[in-house]
Amino acid sequence: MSSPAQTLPASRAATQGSWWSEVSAVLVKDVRSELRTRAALATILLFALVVLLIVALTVITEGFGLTRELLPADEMRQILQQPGAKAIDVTRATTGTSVTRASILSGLYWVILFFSAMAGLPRAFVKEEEMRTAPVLRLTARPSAVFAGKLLFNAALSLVVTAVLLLPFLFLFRPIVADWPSFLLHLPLGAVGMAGAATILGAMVARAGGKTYLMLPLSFPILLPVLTFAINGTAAAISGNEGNQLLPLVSYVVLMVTVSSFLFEMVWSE
Amino acid sequence: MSSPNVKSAGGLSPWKWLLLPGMVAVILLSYLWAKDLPVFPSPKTARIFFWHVPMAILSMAWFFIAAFYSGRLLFGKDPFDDHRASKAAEVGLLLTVLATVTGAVFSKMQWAGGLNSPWYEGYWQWDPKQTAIAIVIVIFMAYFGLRMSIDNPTTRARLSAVYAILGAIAVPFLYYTLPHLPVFGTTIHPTDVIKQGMDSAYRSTFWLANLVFFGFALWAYQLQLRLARLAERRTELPAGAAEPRFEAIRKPATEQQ
Repeated sequence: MSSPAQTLPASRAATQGSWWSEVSAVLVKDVRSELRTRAALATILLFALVVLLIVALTVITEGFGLTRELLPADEMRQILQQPGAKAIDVTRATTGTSVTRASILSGLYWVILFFSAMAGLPRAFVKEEEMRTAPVLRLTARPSAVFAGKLLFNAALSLVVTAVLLLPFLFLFRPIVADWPSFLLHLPLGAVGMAGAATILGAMVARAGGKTYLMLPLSFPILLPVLTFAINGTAAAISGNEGNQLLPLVSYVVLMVTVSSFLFEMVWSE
Repeated sequence: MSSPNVKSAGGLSPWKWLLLPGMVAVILLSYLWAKDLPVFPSPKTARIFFWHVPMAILSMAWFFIAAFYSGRLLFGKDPFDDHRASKAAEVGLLLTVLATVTGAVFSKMQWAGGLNSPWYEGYWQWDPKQTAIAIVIVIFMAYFGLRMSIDNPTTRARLSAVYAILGAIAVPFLYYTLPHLPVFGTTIHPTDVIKQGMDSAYRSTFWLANLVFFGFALWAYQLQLRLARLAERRTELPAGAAEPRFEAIRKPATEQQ
């Protein structure tokens, strides 16, 4: 009679340490293979930058009602009575950014990030099925460790994308941010929240034969609360109004991640 | 496994016979007995209330029935729960669409000036409840889209069950959290009508309508389940019976000998 430890392959015995060691092994493996090919990062970033450029070139985010407003009526009358007055003379630049402009910019940012993330986030699982490495991963790590590792990887990926996307966004759209701390908290938290709620969906897409077009309809209802909280919170941060959405955002994501971690084994195991 | 639940086409249960007079009674009572309620902007045309509100309530009920059977499939042992969940979702999708369509008509008549407004206006008000039910329709469609794209029945059952549970967690958030966000504004649904705005005639007709529509939805659900059972029984081979496929192969061989 051989003991169970002897029948295990060497790799399993080596990683049969704590849960955390399995999680970090999955995470390190994913980061390494991502650095080798940069497939997921390139997918998300190229998608995001292209859409950001298209939107910046074609959508009017400055001008009347957005960064300019009409002068009071009597001042307007005085200006228009002078010879050679132009229509632009009766407007003035608003001191900050208007609420409308804040909502438009915040909505554009998060829609761009949502679509690019949905193109790239399922890669973490679809890759395993395509390369036929999923069975090995099933043998060598506990399902909960796989889920945690992939979750951390997706969160790190989203953070990198947010960091890279932030500068072109600020450069091209020039939002006049009223509340910088809140703005800089909403962007990474929203991105990590998206990754958290979408990780199990990526696993489902991979199990459904790697049909990545499924990711978008599947993620829409699940990610809509995250998106709404993030868009409203970011808009409030830009315009300087009340309306911090960090608490509902974090609580929804914590709930979703908890439930996903319970359900993940049903998706992952054969 | 013999399935005692598949009944012969013999007769209907008594409560199904009650649905026809029940439906007639709802139509008659809603027009003849229930007086106009002044709560509504246009009380005369508010009778669609007796159709619209039960549909909306029942669609949520069937959605959570689907989620319940999905959970039982994952953590229990009965593989037939997959059919119980997906058929409940089908009935739920039908009711959701009906609630949306009746709600659109209701919205035009009550909030948009009725027939005085242009024919194309007033059906959609971006009311929080309208937005939420549109999202629920998308959840159902994503659920069926997921089911359609997986061939293996076991994987399909598991993945769609997980998705139904995730959706069931998102829905209360959509219903109760999103309406509180500034962009959604306040609802123009008369939320106090169901609680205290109805007189006794209105209330009795309303609950009778709820009961009758629940009966119809349950009947449709039972029929769907029976179809699923019959389809499963057709694919199962009866125990001890000769297998027709193999006999067809064996026969020429015996003739040759």
